[in-house]
Amino acid sequence: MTFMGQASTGRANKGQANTSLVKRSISIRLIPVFLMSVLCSPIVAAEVEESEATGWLNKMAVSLHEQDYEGTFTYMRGSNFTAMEIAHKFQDGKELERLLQLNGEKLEIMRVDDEIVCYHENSEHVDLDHHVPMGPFSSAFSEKLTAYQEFYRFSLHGEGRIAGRPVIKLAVSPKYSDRYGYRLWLDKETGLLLQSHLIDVDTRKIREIFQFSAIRLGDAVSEDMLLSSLHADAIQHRLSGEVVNHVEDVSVKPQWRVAWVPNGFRAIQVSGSNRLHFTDGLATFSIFIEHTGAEGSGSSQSNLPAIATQVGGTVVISRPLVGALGQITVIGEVPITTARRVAESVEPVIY
Amino acid sequence: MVTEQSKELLSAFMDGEASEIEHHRLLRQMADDDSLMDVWVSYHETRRAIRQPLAHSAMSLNGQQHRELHHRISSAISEDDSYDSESSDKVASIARPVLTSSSSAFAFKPASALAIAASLVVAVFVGTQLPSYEDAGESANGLAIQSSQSATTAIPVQTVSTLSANSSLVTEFASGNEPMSENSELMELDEERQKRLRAYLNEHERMSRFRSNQQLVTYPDPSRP
Repeated sequence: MTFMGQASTGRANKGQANTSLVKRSISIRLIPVFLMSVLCSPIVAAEVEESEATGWLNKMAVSLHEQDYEGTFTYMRGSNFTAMEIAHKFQDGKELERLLQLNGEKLEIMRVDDEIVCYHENSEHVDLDHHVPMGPFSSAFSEKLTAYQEFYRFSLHGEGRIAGRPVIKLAVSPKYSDRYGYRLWLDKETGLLLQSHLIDVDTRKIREIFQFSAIRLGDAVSEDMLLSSLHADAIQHRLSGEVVNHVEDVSVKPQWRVAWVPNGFRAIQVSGSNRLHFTDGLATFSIFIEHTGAEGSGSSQSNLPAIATQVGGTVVISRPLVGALGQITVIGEVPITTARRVAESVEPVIY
Repeated sequence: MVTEQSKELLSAFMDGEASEIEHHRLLRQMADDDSLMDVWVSYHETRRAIRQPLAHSAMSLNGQQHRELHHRISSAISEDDSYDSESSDKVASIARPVLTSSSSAFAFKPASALAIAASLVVAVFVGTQLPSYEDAGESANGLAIQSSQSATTAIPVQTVSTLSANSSLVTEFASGNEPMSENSELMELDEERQKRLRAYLNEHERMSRFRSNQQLVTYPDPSRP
């Protein structure tokens, strides 16, 4: 009995041990299931997707600078529709680029890194004060976009085809309605931006469209394509120098202040005492101040009237400066409500 | 016979919630079904009465007038697709008897008829909703065309509101769908101010395009004087 009892106990123990083994075995088998369920959960999947999307954005940022390509693109901003021929080459650590405006006045833009020179065909009516149709991001695209994940959500939306090339579709959605979003079509092989839409998420309208209609990449780009097609008597002027000339000593106490900007926007350039430029890595806006009656302000010029309008994705707001003789103008790729709030927050500083 | 579905579509169109395909379907239905035009007119009457009760009594056109105007403009456009001054005058001359014969208290200018036609075109395009990413994908050429049309109709919007400021119907179309016409305010500036604003726009564009500007600067915090 005792033996039996012991045997019985032994069987019982063995049985318990077997049960324990079975349980453990089941537990081990469940680990992958558990892991799969965790990995497949929406949160984890979203994080994986976001990480993959930022990987593509980083690839795009590098490609914008270092990829050799030539082709034609269209850039539509409101009623302004531009068709450009572009050749871009990365050589000895420098970006070389030539853009030729295909419609209207023959305008050629030659760029070596940030040095930009415009060439105009010699004629009686040359407008040197023109815009620079270089595409939505051009060389300004921030290579550290991951730092802006607090303000944007990045997501992938499958594949497609643009200008005869397979692309990855990617959305950059603002987390708050105080800025615009983007849809990007990136070349699957190189990450180069082949198409983009600037989107007002509030009104669900497309504000700007950039699109390559034809493109060749890599070795197809010869140095000849970077040579000017205009005659030697073409009128030329530098663009980058004009901006740099505005920069003054930033240690000078500001005469006005911006009490509110959307989260994540930081000053990137102070061009003189009456200009300030902000970016969040993607979107930008600029503030211009005109003083009337102030010393050295050129008071002979008349202020801009109150304006609230839109040129494509660019908003223009102009309003009198509160508590002072002057006018503030906010220009940028942000929703009009954001621009208005920025403009209303600008006030003179009394020392 | 106007179905509930048609009414809903019409309502969505007036609220700017109809898709482009629905716009086309609605225009086709309106061309074939006069009773749908009556519903359209009644919706507008209601909206106008709510918004401008005083103007309502003086400005109303009955459904018959709307139908007649719609048919005459449609047939004029189909007869001559070229959009020149001659055809514009033709449309205007067709519209005039409709509007003046039975409504002596309200004399429409010829331009107003053209404005209505233009505003109908504007109404079709400016309400275009953003398609889903999947729809937008490879058909971006189509999107570009849509936006281009929307943009190019912006100038007619301004012309509409300038030519016929008296017409609440026209101004409703012009201002209701697109609150800010492209460049309308900028075009009214004198040469010096236009030049200055253009210089601001160009400077902003250049600043936002250059890589060197991505280096953040040490700027005295404007919020802490």
